[in-house]
Formats: sequence, structure tokens, C-alpha cells
Amino acid sequence: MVESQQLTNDTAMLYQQALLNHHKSPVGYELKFDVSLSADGVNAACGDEIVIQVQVNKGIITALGFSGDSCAICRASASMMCQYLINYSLAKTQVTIDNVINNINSVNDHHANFEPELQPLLAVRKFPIRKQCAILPWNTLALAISAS
Amino acid sequence: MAIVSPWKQDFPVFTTYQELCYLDSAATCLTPKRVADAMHYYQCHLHANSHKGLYQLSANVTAQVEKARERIAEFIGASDQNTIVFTSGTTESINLIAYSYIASRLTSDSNIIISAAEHHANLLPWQRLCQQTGASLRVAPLDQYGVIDIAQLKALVDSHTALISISHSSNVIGKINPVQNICQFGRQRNIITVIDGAQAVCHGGINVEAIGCDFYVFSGHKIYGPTGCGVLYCRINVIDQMQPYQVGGGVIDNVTYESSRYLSGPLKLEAGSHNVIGIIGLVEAINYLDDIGWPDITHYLKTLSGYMQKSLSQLNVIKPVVPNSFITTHLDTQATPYLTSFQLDKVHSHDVASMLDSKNIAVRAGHHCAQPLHKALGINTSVRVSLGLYNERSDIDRLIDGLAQTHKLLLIE
Repeated sequence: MVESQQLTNDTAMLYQQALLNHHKSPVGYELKFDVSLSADGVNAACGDEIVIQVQVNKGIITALGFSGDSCAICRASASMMCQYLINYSLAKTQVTIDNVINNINSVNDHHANFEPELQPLLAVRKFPIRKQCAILPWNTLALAISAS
Repeated sequence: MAIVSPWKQDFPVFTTYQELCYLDSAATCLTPKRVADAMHYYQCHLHANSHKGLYQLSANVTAQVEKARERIAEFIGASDQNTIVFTSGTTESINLIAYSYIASRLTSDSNIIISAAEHHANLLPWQRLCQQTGASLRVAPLDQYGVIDIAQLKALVDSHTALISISHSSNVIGKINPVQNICQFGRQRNIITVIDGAQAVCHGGINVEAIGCDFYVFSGHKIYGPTGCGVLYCRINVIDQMQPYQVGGGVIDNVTYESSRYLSGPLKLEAGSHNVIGIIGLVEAINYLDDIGWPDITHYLKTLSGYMQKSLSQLNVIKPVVPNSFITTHLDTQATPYLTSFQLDKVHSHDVASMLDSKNIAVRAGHHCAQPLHKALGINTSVRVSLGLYNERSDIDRLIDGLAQTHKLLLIE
């Protein structure tokens, strides 16, 4: 067996501790609550599957959860989303979703208006193949909201 | 045990990416310099339109294409070069069979049999034909080792079975299927047989006449040739009955505004200009492999594959997609699998591929264009590792080390 190699900086960055923590102890994963809105999301190209469930009271998100078989990036992204959007109005949520997706897809390094709590998600910008994994939960939540 | 490739130096990519550990040859093989050189020389010095020009340059190219047909017929054991049709690859070959021959023979009573292991190229054309005609699609299961279950396949056959279309080797499991047995069974009942050889052709020793199939298909880039050039073998009395599903220049001997008369033989199925540079590359790849010698290739890859299977089976966090797929069966008479697919326990396949990529190890992750097979196996995705002439023991050691590290980092307790 060859000697173990140290993880490269890039990979360490991609799987930085914040994302790892969310992946290993995800917020909202298989959470049980009375569901107001839900949607299924699939990345056909890679096989990620996710179900997003939302509880809404008077236009405010009061519970947010997810389930499904997805990779660490998708899972961590969904977990951060579930942690971050509680008590957000649906209108503000949609703005945040657009902001997250735009920042992940952005080609420049200036993210002045990007929520600090979600900054770890920007790590995937260095890995274009994985962007879709990070974006899937947010797109699926947008789908749930638009269907309402 | 030292397993060092004597052929790795033939592949210039390793001078560009010196640390590359390429374990995705089932998707596409890397290109030997000699193949690239042959293509470059042709394009620079010999290129013309084949079969059409009334001048020497074109006549030379026409002769090269027809010589290539001969060479490929010889390579797959076909005694007549007019059984060889040039296509863009396996996918086009199967679609060509579907719409040039099978479609007109189906009724709403017909059924088509495939196996559970087919990749999308050998599923979707038949699925669509069934939707269009009302015919039914029947799926033969695999046995416990990941090989097509012959008894269960035969049990699906009835007097309305029009076609059996199966892979010679699955692109996910890698085991060699008993195609000769199945084709002989089909022939006795006048059932058309199609063999998808995309993953078997790299084993060499293909003999379509011994197999007894009506059609055999493969892609050039799975045997170190270029993409965009593939082969469709059609048994000689079958090709005579085929009607072109793509028409255009080069497929006719007489055209008026009212009607057309098609050529006979393979040319009627090769509308437009031939992909001559691709054909040149494919022939050069076959010559390259023949020059190495198939016994040496087989011995080397069999040894390396054995080491890979053993190394993976000793890593207790590996779950093969078919529990017994590391076991050799009595049916594995022709070849050892050069690929294997598995899951890393409690780690998603995409994360495995990304982590390995960070160590310059290229593997395939996902459903490998075989979604129904994954569903049948009760999983969504897997990691696939496949071998080529350039791989050696150190590649497997790096893979195993990378898998162990990935598991340690990403395991969900």
C-alpha cells in the first residue's frame, strides 16, 4: 500500500469543516412536522435526489426539512438552507434563493452582499461539476414555493 | 508482485498529466500516439472525400475505407467485409438496427427481450419502438453473479418474440455474458439477435460468426481509437433486407424527383461523407493492439484485474453492486472483467469521485447510463473503476489508499 497523501488545499477547501459538519449532522434532515409545501428535486446528470418540505404560517417559514439520497455537497447545502431560512418570509426567501444561486454561479470573487453564514457554499465555485449539487436544494425550495 | 505497464509510454497524455491515474477506460480509452499520428498524417497528407471523387486522391481514400472494412471484418471474425457498416458508435449502430430493420417487423403482438444490465443505448431505442408499435419490452434478470440468467431469459421467449438484444459485457458489472448460447437459441426460433459489444471488444477474440448473432455493435473509442467512429456488423443475408433510415448522398445508384433506388451492401447505410479520419484511427488502434499481441494484453489485464478485485475485496468498506461480482463463475470462460462497480459504505459516489479527482485519480461515478440496472440493484449510483493498457499496480494502490481516506473523512456515523 502506498503512503497516505495529505489532502490537497482545494479538496480541504471544498470539504471544509463547516460543510463537513453540516454533512455529518445535517439540520432539518428527515425532520417531522406538518407540511405546507413540498417539492422533489433531481439532478438527472448525477443522480442526486432530494425532497424539500416547508411549513408556512402567515407567509413565514416556521419549519424546513429535507430527505433523499444525495452527495455531501447537496446535503450540506440543504442543511445550511434549513438552518438559515427559518422565520424568513416567502418573499425574502425567494430573494435569498436567487442570491445564493447567483453567487454560486458567479465568475467573479466579489460577494459583498452574500450572507456570511452561507459563505462555505462558495467553496464549490472552484469545482464547476459540483455547483449543481449545491444549488439543487435551493432550486427545489423555489419549486415548492412557486407551486404554492 | 510487480505489475508495471510496458505500454504506458505509448500514451502521450501521461507526459502532459504525469500524475494522472486514469481508471475510466470503460467510458473511453486514452489514445496511443501512433493512433493520433496516423490520423494527423491522413488529415494533412491524404484527405479527400471517399467514394465520390473521380480523381486519384479520392480513389485512394475510397480504397482505404474499403480496406478498413476488410480489416475490421477480420478483427471480429466476419468472413465478408460487406457485413461491416461504419457508424458514429454503438448508439447510432443500435438506432440504425432499430429503424432500418426491426421497426418494420414489429406488430402490437410482438415482444423484444433485453437484459436488466443494458445501458441506455441498448434500452431506449427498443423502449421507443415498443411505444410506437404497441409491442412489449421484456427484461431478463441477472443471476447472483451479475451474469444474464439464461434460463430466465429463455423463459421470456414465446412465438411473438421478434428480437433479443443484450450486452456482451455490462458496462456496470463487467462480467461476460453467454451470448453464443443465447444467439443459438434465438437462431433456432428465427429470433433476431443483437449483441452490444461496447465493453467486450477490448477483450479481443470477438468472433461474430461463432457467436451466431445477427448484429454486433461497438465503438472505436473503447479500443483506443477515436470517438465518432463505430462499427455495425450485420449478417450478410440481413443487410440485404435493411432499409436506410438516414438517406442522402452516397446511398443511391439512381435518383429522380419521383423515386430513388438504393445501393446494396453497407454503403446504403452510410449516408453522407464517411468519417475517414475516424476510420483511419480505428484501424490503427486495432493494428496497435494486434502488434502488442492479444495473449500479452489478456494476460496483463487479467493479472491487473485480479489484483484490483482482490484489493477492493480486502477493503471492508467496499460494497460491490452485485454482492458476488468479485467471484469468478463457470460462465466466465472468455475473459476476466476489466471493470468493476461498487459503493463506498455510507459515502455518496460523487463525493468519492471528487475526492479521488483531487488526487488525480479518474473514476466514473453516477449511474453510468444504466439507471434501470441501478434501480434493479437497489441503489441510485455507484463508483466504477475500469482498466486499460496504461494501468499498473501503483494505480490500484493509489485508488485503494484514496478510497480509505475518503471513507475516513466523509463517513456518516
